[in-house]
Order: sequence, then structure tokens, then C-alpha cells
Amino acid sequence: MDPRTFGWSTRVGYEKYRPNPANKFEPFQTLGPIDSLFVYEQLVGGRRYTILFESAGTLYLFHEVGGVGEKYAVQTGRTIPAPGEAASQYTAIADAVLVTNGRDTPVVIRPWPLPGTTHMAGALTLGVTRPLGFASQAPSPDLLGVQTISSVAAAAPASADNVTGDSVTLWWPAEAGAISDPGSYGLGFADGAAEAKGQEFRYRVSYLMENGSESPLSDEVSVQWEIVNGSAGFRYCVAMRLPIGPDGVVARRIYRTQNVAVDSPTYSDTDCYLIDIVRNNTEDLWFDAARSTAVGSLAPSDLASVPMPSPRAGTAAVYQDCLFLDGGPSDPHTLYFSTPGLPDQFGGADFIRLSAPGGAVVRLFAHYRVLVVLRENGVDVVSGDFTSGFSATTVTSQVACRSPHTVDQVPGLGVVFLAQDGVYALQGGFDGGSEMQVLRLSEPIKRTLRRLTPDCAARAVGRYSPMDRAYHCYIPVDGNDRPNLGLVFHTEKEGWSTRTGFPVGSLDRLYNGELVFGHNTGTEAGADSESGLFILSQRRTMGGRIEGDAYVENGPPTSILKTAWLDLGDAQIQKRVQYATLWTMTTGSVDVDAYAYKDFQRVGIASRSYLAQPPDSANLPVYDSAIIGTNEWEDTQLVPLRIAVAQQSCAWFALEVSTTDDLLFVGWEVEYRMPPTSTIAGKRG
Amino acid sequence: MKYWTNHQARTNQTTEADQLNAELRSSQSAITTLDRTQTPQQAYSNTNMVTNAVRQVWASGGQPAGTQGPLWGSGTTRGEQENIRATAADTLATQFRAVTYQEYSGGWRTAHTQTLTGFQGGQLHIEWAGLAAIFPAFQQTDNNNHPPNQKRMRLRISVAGVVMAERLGTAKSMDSFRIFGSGLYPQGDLTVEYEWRFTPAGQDDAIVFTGAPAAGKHLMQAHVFGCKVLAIARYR
Amino acid sequence: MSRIIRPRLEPGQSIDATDLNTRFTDYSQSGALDLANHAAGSVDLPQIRTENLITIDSARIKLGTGVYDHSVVESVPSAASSPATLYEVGGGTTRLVFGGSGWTIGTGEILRVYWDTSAEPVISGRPYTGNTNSGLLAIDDGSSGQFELNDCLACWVIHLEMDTTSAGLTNWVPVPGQGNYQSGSPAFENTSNMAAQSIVPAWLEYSAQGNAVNGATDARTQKDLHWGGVSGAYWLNPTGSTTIYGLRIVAHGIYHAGFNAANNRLDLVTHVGAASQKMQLTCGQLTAIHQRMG
Repeated sequence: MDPRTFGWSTRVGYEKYRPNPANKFEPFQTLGPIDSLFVYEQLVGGRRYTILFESAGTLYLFHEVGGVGEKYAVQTGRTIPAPGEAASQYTAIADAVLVTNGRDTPVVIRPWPLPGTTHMAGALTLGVTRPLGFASQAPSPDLLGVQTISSVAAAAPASADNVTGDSVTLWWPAEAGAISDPGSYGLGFADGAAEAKGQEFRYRVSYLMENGSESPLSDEVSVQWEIVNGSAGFRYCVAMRLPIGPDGVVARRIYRTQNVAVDSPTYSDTDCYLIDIVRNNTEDLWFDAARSTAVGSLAPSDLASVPMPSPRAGTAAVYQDCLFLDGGPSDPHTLYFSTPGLPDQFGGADFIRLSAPGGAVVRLFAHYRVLVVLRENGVDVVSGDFTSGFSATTVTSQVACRSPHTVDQVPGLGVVFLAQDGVYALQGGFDGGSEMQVLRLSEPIKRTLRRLTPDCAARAVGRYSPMDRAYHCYIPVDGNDRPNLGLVFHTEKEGWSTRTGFPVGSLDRLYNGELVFGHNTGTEAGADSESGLFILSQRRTMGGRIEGDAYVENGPPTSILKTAWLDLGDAQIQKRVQYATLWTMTTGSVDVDAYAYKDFQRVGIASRSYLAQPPDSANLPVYDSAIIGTNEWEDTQLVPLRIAVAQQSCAWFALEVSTTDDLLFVGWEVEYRMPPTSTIAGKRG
Repeated sequence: MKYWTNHQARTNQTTEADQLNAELRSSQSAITTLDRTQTPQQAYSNTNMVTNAVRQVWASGGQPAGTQGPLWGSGTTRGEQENIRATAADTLATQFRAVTYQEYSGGWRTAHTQTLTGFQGGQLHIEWAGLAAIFPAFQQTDNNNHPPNQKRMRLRISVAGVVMAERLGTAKSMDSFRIFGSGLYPQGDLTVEYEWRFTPAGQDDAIVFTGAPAAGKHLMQAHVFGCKVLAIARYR
Repeated sequence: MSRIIRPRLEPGQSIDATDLNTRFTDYSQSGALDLANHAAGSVDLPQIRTENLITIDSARIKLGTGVYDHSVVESVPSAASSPATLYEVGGGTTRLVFGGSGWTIGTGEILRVYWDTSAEPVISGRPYTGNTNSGLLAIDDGSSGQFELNDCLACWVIHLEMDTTSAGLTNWVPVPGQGNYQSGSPAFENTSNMAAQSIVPAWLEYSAQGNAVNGATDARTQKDLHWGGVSGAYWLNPTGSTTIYGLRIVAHGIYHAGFNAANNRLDLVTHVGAASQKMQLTCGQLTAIHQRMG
């Protein structure tokens, strides 16, 4: 749509993401259909962005620097979505992207820093990809025994001959005057004179991720030793082997009780406290020299962190600083949420059960002040916050959203999505007395929408484009298993147009507002077929093809405008339409074909073609015939093109205009006569 | 940011000024704001990048110009600590004129101050290399149950008053040392202080030479010399 | 390249070839793309990789015997006459060679050199006794007499040398700021000329345990100094362009602290020189990096 005149414009098309024809379809020339796409904006001002996309079960990262575009396979072996299944969904969290598809473990992609191409293959597995959350509690540390020093004077020291393996003798003098820091270190009692003294300490370990998330604590393990009666002057330290965490872990926390042996004054305090943090994920041998009472803060409760509760999550969103996940196909009515600011840490009691009739969760979307939960048979919202609790409310149970990739925010309309029976807008909120409403936008295109392949609705994609100020939605129709019809809602005009021939498999928006899409077929149609990423732009080509060994652009699309059926007041009276006037902007010596339709007939009557030039003054100069130095730059003018209609009487009239050229069509009117003839009576049976 | 087609001129299309303007405008915008997808690879080096864009180095030395060495300070005491120096008359000819217990009672002393002029904020890496001398003889004592009196030359680098790195230091009688550290610091002409601290006198330390002909001269206890410092800021 | 400032096309303006060509030529101005053309964050690693933005040259070599354990050692004898012979660590095979054109260190550049090795000073008996030049101290013995104790301020010197003459590497001199201990009688260097050296203590003795009382002592303990690590560093930001063809490390000794009116210095001590007074070295590294200052 033309922004100046709100007129219908034929300046549509699509071109390759990398426009240079010498590149052909590189680096995408081997790809089949691109099932899902996400543009991850990493720095403000569009300084750096990464495109993540998935094709044939491999997740790729596309990064362009210095004009060289490289795609890197970040994860292989992912489930290829079936034709009726939605493709992967992407959620931006902190400095990474969470990819969920309801089948594979949610994976966190951290696309920066990206090592140079020479190190890419190895480095991609280091730090770029990791699973979300902790799969299980940390394993317990492996404690070594404590071998005490005998009290007998001149006794042989502990050695390999009289000590079992897996124990150590680490001691620290307790007496002042022996060394510079006497008594600063060592656990338990130092003095066994008069009676043996026992010590017992219990340990637990947890993993820490870089974002601060802590894993579930390990089970407790304990170590005991006894100061021999008669020995004095030493305290002992405990050594252990710490478990090494999975990818993403950057530190380990160690918790310990105080001395819980019967001899100890703190024997009843079996709580674990923080002792130390080992700030790496490499070292495994560690020793504890902190005095029995030199403990830190209390260990977190067992409910503070549990193993990742939703290992097959399909959708995610960040709301009130918590990461929300659905439960996956086996647990479709539950929402799990993380601790605020810690997207990998989930508490044992942090979930919401939604009411059953709404159906499975299809998409989570944070909007305004609520979390919109689009479900298979309804729309719920979650509100609240972590401290005071979250609660779910049903907004409507009559709207069935089955297309998670069509959800987007549209200015003036709210959250727009494709449901089973139309395109809806969710508006308003719950605060300050306002209402949340569900509004169906697709009334004018009801008949078109019925062509939707019902079981493949999950593959539909939609996104708002600020450049066009339109909401684009591409849906599979007529039995096709991938999107092959585009529906575009022009927000300024509040009207719809359709697009065919645009092979949109997946869709997202770039920083500058242009829409980028992944091809829906790719090399499935044969080698050298159109494949990869494309931009919906004003280039009037429908992509391109490889001919010989060169890339050749395809021709422009055919644009067809058909007006609404006019009954001109009363459908029962016959009208004679004599002229239809098309108000167009003078876009050049382009051929405008017009067809006049009567009474809902399928075939129209063609009229001669017209030029989009002023009818009663000189033609404006056009490219390829204007003479440089003679002609002047022009401004388009609004001109009426009066088209003669060679039609007899009709009750209903419509006009169709079709062209492959540049045309900007603003409005139309008809000139007709209305002799007092009524519509003929119906036929005899 | 790069752009795609805004207007495509085609045969028989009106020569509309606005359309060509639209295409030129997005090209002009793109060439004024080249982003990393557009700037060519391996095209930038120090010839077309401003000085200190990526990093900045401050090194001690250059005194005198003739010798151009990196030792700090100037004159005959280049590279040495001058905080504690016995008088020349009290110094033995076979020892350094340096730290004595008659002059030094403990505590940190700043041997050298360096100003990082023009530091833009970012990661700072600082190195200090030098030589240390310690009189080791009286580390074992007799009074009071023989506590040891370890002689160590502790070293410390402080940036803007905050300690960046500290070492327990060298304990050998003659040794080389190198202390370095790094951290993130805010923009400004930061002051870096290079400090030393020696073990103070114990109750049993000998502090004077008793033999002829130099009886009464003060015994040297420690010294720091041959010092040079290097600060490297990394901005990108 | 300056910004492209060109008024828009107005309807009614003649389609002028010159005008059109000027608009298109705007994009090929004579100046290269410069500050005015780049958005924030537009220069990334691929744009500057391999352009020597920070490091221009680097080199590293194993220094010494090539064996890190102590099975193979080289010995540096202590000097019996002045000046000491400079012994090259590695015997001439472990030096940094920069090739035919050498490394040219410009005024906006810095050369950083680091070395390390493992050293064991070997001394038999107390050959340093009886001579104040090697650190003899007369300490109060607690019974109105004197006790002889050494101050242990004696050391071996390991320093860095360069060749700025040719790639033939036949003309070695100490790097700027470092002296070569070849002048003076006996040879010495002031501490203001010690920019590129490491020192290794030559011997160790101290007042025996239980004998140091109130500043007096009457017994000593001498200890062998065993293997210890030694490292050194040097950097040079020259005031004039300097071309260096190679770097080497030399070791010599034994020197003792001294003070001569105005300067602290290390003086050569020859009376301890003998085959049994030596320093043994094994293996270490010598690394040089040539970088830009900014």
C-alpha cells in the first residue's frame, strides 16, 4: 500500500538476502525448506545481529561480516517438524536465545563472542550451545578419608604401608609460636588429651552457571575421624574430589555442616552452610581448611532449585524477569517459571496449572502487563509477580490459536494471531478498569481463510512490518503443507490484500523493519533451486533462478485488484454501467487491463488496455524513452482513467484491474444509468 | 545498516522524482552508516585507525635519552627505591645505600608513582619487574621461644588507591621479581602506585657493623632496585 | 570520504545527465571511506585480523640445555680475574634470531622480552670469608667481641644482549639501559644500568637458631642453595627507530653489592673464583614480542 495516498500499489516482490547475483544462493544453496527463523538483535542500533534458522533438523547461525556471509551448524540431530507441527520457537533471554520445539531439550544459543572461522568447528561446541537448566542434581563430592597422626612419640608417620588408599593427612598446627598463623585453619578439635575426640562433617555441592543459576544441591556425604587420646597440637583438613559440571557451569559451591559428632557442642546443628566457591569448572581436587565454625550463609532449601521441570518445552517467554516454559507435549496444561533473573534455576513449587478446557499451551507471549497464554482452545493471561505469586485468568474460551508463529504485536491493534477461524487481535488489559477484548480482524477475508489447510495451521507464519505498516501472515492453503498464500493487513487502511507465489516458510523482522523470510522449499525442488533467506522488498521481482551458471532474476508479479460487488442502491433494479473511472497515480506507460463483471459471474468482459498516463494531456516521461537533457523529473499526478464498460444491464457490478507493471490505484467510481427495469423473475423449475 | 530495494526503475515507468529519491536516500544512509556486514574484511590497520583506539601503553624510562632504558626515575638512582636511604656516611662501602632499621620501622612505601594520562576506561594490565636485596641472617631468633622473623620484600601495585595485585614477595638474599595484575578501571588519568614493604626489625636483629675500621656503620637490611614498570590498557 | 550531501530531485527539474552522473559519482569520492562513514560497532575482528594491529612480531625459543629436568646442565664458572667472561646461556645455539632484516622497533612501538630458567649456585666451603668485598660482616658476638657473618649480598648476573649491526650476529652489546660489566677495576656496574638483568644469590648463611639475641650472634649456619627458578623481563620503547637482529642471554659472576660515593653498584668479586664456585643452569625460555604502543 502506498503510504502517501493509501492507494493500492503493485510495488511488491522479494529478493535474495545477499543481493549480489554473483553469490547466487550462497551460502544456502544446499538447504531445503527453512522451518523456522529468528533475528536476534544483540547490540543497540542494529550494530550486530545474528540470524538463527533451522532446516532439516540442523540449527544454523548466520553471521555476516565484511560482506561474507557464513552459516554455521550449531546443533544437528534436531527433530524435523512434521507438516502439522509447529517449528522451533525462539525466545531471547539475557545474552542468549532459547530454542524450544516441544520435542528436543530446550537449548540455549549464545551467539557471541563468535570465534574466527578457523576455530569455529571446535569452538561451536564450547560455550555457544548448552542445554537449558540442570538435568539433575549435582553429584556428591568424593570425600577422602582423614588419617590422623599418632600420639605416640617417635611413632612412624602415616605412610603407604599402614594407611589405606583414598585418605590424606593434611594438618595445621594449633599452637601459637609454631608458625606465623597458628590456629587459623583446620577442622574439629586440636586436643585429644584426656579423651579421644570425634569429628564428623557433612558436605554438599552445587553447580553455578554464569547467570547465577544454581543447580539442585547434591546428596549429603560425610567424613569422620577421631583425635587419638593423648595427641594434641594439630587440626586436620578434609580433601575431596569435586564433580565437574556440564557445559555452561562456571563455578561450584561447597556447603558443609559444622562438627556434628557427638563430642561436639554443635552436634545438633545438621544444617549445611556455604564454605567456599571454586571459581572454575576444571579443578577437581580441593581441600577444606575452614575452621568448624567458620561457615557462611545457610544453604538454600531443596525446593529452591530442582532439575529442569520441562525437558520438552515447546514455547517460552520472559515475564516479570522469570522465564516461563510450558510443560511440553506430556504436560500441556502446566506453566513452569524460573526464579527471577536466573533463567536456569527452577524452584520445586514454581508452576501454575491451567484449567483443562483451554487445551494445550501453543504460545506464550509477554504483552503490556500480562503474559498472554495462547492455548489450543482459548486465551488465558498470567499476571502477578514472583514475590506475591502468579495467577492465571481466562480471557476467552472460544478462540482456538493453532499457529504459534503468527503471533506479533501490531501498533493500534494489540497482539494479532491466526486462530482456527480467522485472524484475531487481543486488545486492552486488566489494569485501571480496562477490558481485554478479542477482536476478529479477518471478517472481510472469511472465504479466503476457509482455504486454510486445517491440519497444517501450525506452519503458518506472521509478522508485523514497520516498513510496510502491515501485518503479514502466510498460511498453507488448498491442501498444501507449507505456507503458499500471504494475507496482508494494512493497518492504515484496515484492509486486506493477498499474496501468492511468495515461498515463505518462516518469517522475522530485521532491525530496519524489513521482513526476512526463509524459503519454504529450497533444494527439495531440485539442485540449484531457489533456497535460503530472502527479503520482502519493493523490488518487483519474484526472486530468481539459476540459468546456465548464472543467477537470473525472475519477472515481476501480476497484481490483481477486484473491487467489491456494487449493487448501487438496490439489487433488484437493473443498472447500465457505462463507465468506470479508475483514479490512479500516473505511474507510466504501463498497461492497465480492466475487466467488468456482472451479477457474480465468474468471467468478466475485458476492455482495451489503458496507459496509466494523464488522459487529456501529454504523457509524462518514462524510463527508456525519456531523453536526458530534454525531459524533466516528474511528480505523479492523480488522474482519472475512464474505462468504457461494454456490458448490458446488471444488478451487481464489479471491476477487476490487472497488471504486471508499476501501478498505484487510489479509488474508483462508476457512471451508470438506471432505467426502470427490474431484475427478471426466477426460472421455472 | 544495509537496505534492499526501495525503488526499481523499469521500462515504461514514469520518471518520478520521488521514486529515485527513495532509492538514493537509502543508499546514502547505508554508506554513511556502514556496519560490520558492509565494511570489508581485513581492510583496517593502524594506518587508518586512530592511535590508541584498541590499546594504549605507558612504559617507564627513556631517561636519559642517550641510554633509553626502561628504568623508572632519572639520575644516578634510576630504578631504585628512594623512600628509605641511609646517609652516605652511614653506609658500608660493600653494601647498598638502602633500607636500614635505623630509618625504617615498617609499613608500605610508594617507590614510584605513574600517571596513566589519557586512560579511556577498560581493562588495565600492569607489570613491575625489578631486583631485590635482603639481608637474610637474622630470620631465626632466640628470645621468646624462637618465633621466626621471616624477611620478605612484599610488593604491591595500587591503581587509584585500590590494590590491584599484592605479593608476599621475594625472600632470597638477591633475587629478581616480577609482579603483575589486571582489572577493569574507569576512565581518567589514573595514578598507579608501586609500593614495597619489608619486614620490620625483630627483637634480635643486628643493625650495626661492629668491626674496625667502619664500626658503627648501619647494616643494610633490604633494597629494591633495577625497577621498570609497564601499563597496558585494552579498550577493545 | 565526506558525507554525501546532495539536494533531492524535485519534480519539474530537468532529467539532466550531468546531474544524474554527479549523484552516482558521489559514491566514488577521492578520499577513502573514513570516520564519517562508519556506524558504531562497524569494525569487528574480521576487519582487522592479520593486520598486525597490536602485535607485529613475536618469537620464542627454549633457552639453555633444552632439558627441563636436571639431567643435563651447563656450568658458568665464577670469574677469577676482572672483567668476567660473559657466558652465553645455551652456548650460542639458543638465541633469538630475527632474520635478515631484523625487527625494526619504531618510536611508537615497544619490544617486550621475557626470560626464565632454572639455576643452582654451587659453592664449596666458605671461599668468601676474610674479605669485606664479598660481604664479610663483623657482628657483635654478645661477649664484647666480633663474630664473622656474611651478608649474602653476592649474586650471579644474567642479562640480555642484542645485536643491532647485522644478521651475522657477531656484535653483541647489552640492550639500552643495561651495562655489560666489562669496565672498571675491578669491573662493576651502577644500579642505574641494570634494566635487563636477573640476579641469583651466590651463597647463603645466617645466624644459627637460638644464637641471635638482641642484635648479637655467635654461631652461623651455612646452607646449600639448590635449584631455583629465576626470571627476568625487559621492555624498550625507543626514542629513535632501532633495528635488532637477535637477542641472547649471558650469565656471569660473582658480584657483590657496593656503594661508591654517589652510586649503588655491583662489584666483581674475584677471590671466590675457582672451578668449584659455579652456577649451573638447565632449561628455560626466551620470548620476545614486538608490539605497537597504541
